[in-house]
Amino acid sequence: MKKKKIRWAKALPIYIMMLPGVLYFIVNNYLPMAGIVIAFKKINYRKGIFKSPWNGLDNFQFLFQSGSVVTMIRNTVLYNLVFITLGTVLAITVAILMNEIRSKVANRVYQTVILLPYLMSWVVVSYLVYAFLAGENGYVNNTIIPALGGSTKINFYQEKIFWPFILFFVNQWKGLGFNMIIYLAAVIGISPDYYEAARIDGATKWQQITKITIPQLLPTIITLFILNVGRMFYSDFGLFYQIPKNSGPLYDVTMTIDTFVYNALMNQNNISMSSAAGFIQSIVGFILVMSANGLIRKVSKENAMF
Amino acid sequence: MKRRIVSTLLIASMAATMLAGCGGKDAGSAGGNAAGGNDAGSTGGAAAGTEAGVGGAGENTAGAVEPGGWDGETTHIVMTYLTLGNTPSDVQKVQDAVNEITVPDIGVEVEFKPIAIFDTASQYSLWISSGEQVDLMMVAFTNLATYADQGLIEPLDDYLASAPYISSCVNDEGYPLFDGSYYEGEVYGITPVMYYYGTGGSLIIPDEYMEKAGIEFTEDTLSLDGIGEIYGKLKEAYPDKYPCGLVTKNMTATVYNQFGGVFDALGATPSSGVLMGTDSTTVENLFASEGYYDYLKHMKEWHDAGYVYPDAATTDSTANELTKSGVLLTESMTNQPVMLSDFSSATGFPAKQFMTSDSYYTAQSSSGGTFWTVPITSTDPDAALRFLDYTYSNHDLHNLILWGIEGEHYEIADADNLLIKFPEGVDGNTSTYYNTLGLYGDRRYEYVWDASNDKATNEAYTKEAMANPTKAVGYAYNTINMATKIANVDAVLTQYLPTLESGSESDLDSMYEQFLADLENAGINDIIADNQAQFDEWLAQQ
Repeated sequence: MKKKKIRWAKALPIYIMMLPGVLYFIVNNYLPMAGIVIAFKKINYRKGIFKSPWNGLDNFQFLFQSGSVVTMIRNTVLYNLVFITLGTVLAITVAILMNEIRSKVANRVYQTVILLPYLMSWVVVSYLVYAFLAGENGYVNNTIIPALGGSTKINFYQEKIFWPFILFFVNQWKGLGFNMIIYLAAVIGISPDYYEAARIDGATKWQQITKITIPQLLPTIITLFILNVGRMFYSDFGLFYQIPKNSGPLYDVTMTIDTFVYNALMNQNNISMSSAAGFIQSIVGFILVMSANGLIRKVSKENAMF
Repeated sequence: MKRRIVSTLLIASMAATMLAGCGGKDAGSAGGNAAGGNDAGSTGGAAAGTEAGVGGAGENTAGAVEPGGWDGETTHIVMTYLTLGNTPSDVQKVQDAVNEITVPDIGVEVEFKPIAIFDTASQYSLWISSGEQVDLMMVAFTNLATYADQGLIEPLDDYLASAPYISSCVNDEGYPLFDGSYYEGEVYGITPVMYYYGTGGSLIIPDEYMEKAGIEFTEDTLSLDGIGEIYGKLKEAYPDKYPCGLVTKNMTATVYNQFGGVFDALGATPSSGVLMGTDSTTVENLFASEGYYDYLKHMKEWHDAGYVYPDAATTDSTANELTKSGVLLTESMTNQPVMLSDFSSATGFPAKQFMTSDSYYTAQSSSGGTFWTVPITSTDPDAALRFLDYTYSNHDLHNLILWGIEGEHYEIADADNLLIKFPEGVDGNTSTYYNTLGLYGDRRYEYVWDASNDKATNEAYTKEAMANPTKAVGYAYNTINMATKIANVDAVLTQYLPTLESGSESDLDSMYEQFLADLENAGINDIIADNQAQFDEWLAQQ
């Protein structure tokens, strides 16, 4: 009995330290969840959220009646898959390379340069892209194509074949710096003892990377993978809306769930329908996280998150 | 192992904040975009006009009109003050001047609540759901039915007794001030009395360009081929410029009406079907009509001939900016006289207005109109309507709210023709109260800045247009049953119109076919059938 009391006394400060964080989560993340009911209601401001009449799944219909539901889900999921896989590979590669740079100054410079685009807003980036791709005055049409001996101008904002590459490129250009830092932090955390031992045994650089660095990074990769998979049904609104300048002919390759909902409801101001779309995104995200984690638990139990 | 877990957790939390950060930013950029990056809503709205003393209320005996429902107390009301992004610095001063009139006359003390017009859609529902007091709310270019259906605004039928002038404009003079605002048979909004009624298409060409290209002004109506001919002459005279003044970025509605298409959108938008011409009673799909296809074909020809600005579908510049800087040579607009004076003042070019269709008169649309509404958070709807009515009946008050204080913000140039000018040393850019959103009162008595837009010209225009009405004048389609499908049709329009109406597609026929198929998939035919049923019912009652 006495022993237990002491344990409580010891733990108390920690709980107190936790309190602001817990409060924050309750107020910011859990209380608003009650608002989920909006997705199933026909909102009437006079009656308020909870007294408004229920209307079943009516709010969900507009997503599925639109005829573009396949396009937007395909785009959202495929882009995310590419971003997760290729993005992770790129980020890890750059992190490992960065770790090998011995000059302190060079290291700082490279890190800053790679990170800089991450700090820009999508609107700014969209104009940078526009400066390159504009039909009349763009850099590509006026300088690069003539330099390569071409003569036709490409109307980039009307031609959809280019956009999967442009979007991937822009996304990586902007996000690489930050993703890389996360992996770099993990790479730096690996004990030098391993490498020393490996070198003594005559391991090549490549062997050191595949046999030491990657396995050590695995928990980080898995954690980030699960987090990203949970956002499989979400898309970066700025990337898909601002960069293609919301150009109609590109919708086939740029429309994601978020941009569709924004375009369709911008004038309608219908909070029920937008909540319905958000609700679907979170449910699918939840299922994906659970199944990804379940899969990992099956394959290697120690690496699963929960 | 333990260290690994700790570092993993750290990384996880770092990643979580990263993702959270992304989420927040998304919302921010979305909102920012819609709002044009402006938060006028939060600036200066709180300051209430307290100068005009409450004591004035009791003394009033001189008021010529005895407006209904006033019990002698002074009521404080809040009214939205819409801007184009910049709130004029003298709003407070004008508000005080307004209160000097309205407190003694009708016992209402008003507080302006400035908000940028682009922010209204997102801000209004927030204000009302948080219970903030707003008594008069201007809903501009939005479908009023959505507001009524969601219970954001009050039906006005019971309060119209407080608005005798407005009622008499509607009942005695026949102005369509309530048209487009009906929801389930009740009035929900009141538009200003316009200084013109009617619409049509026109092509505006600066005098300077006409002279150089050898174009004669004509009063005849131009056909599409006629427009093409003029474009050809202009292109010949100015090979580096673009004669077709279209910018189609973010275009959500067709501009076929500016190129001679005569149709009535039935108090809604073409997404829910139109009547073609002025004699039809059949609701049909505008985009599938022969005339529309012919228009697209011309557009394609013009684009291929180099008449259309190549970046028309993607540029962020407006047509006026491009005309001003000499990139575009003409602009297409609706054909009211005010369009010509607006064009000249915005671009600096004196110009001529060629008609591309006869003037005609259509059903008033709520999504194309501006309505004064009373939100459910109003503390005294009677006082709100009393004030609103006074802005209609007292023309000095109306001009005060719109153009500011005489002698300080404007001077009268010609009182008979209601012409005003800026005082010495002031212009539109330096004025401390210059906001051109004409949303107030009886606009027949509104001061204007330009003679081409004076009262006589506008009356003649209205007379001509009203003599040529469509069969749907007085009708408005109630979109609420089809809201979902209309949203989907609108999404298809945003996807295709910028390309089709600038002619920048590589193959018109295949894209047009796809466009029509997508419209059908989105349910345009169901909407049209619903509209036709409502219209037939309405016709039977006439």
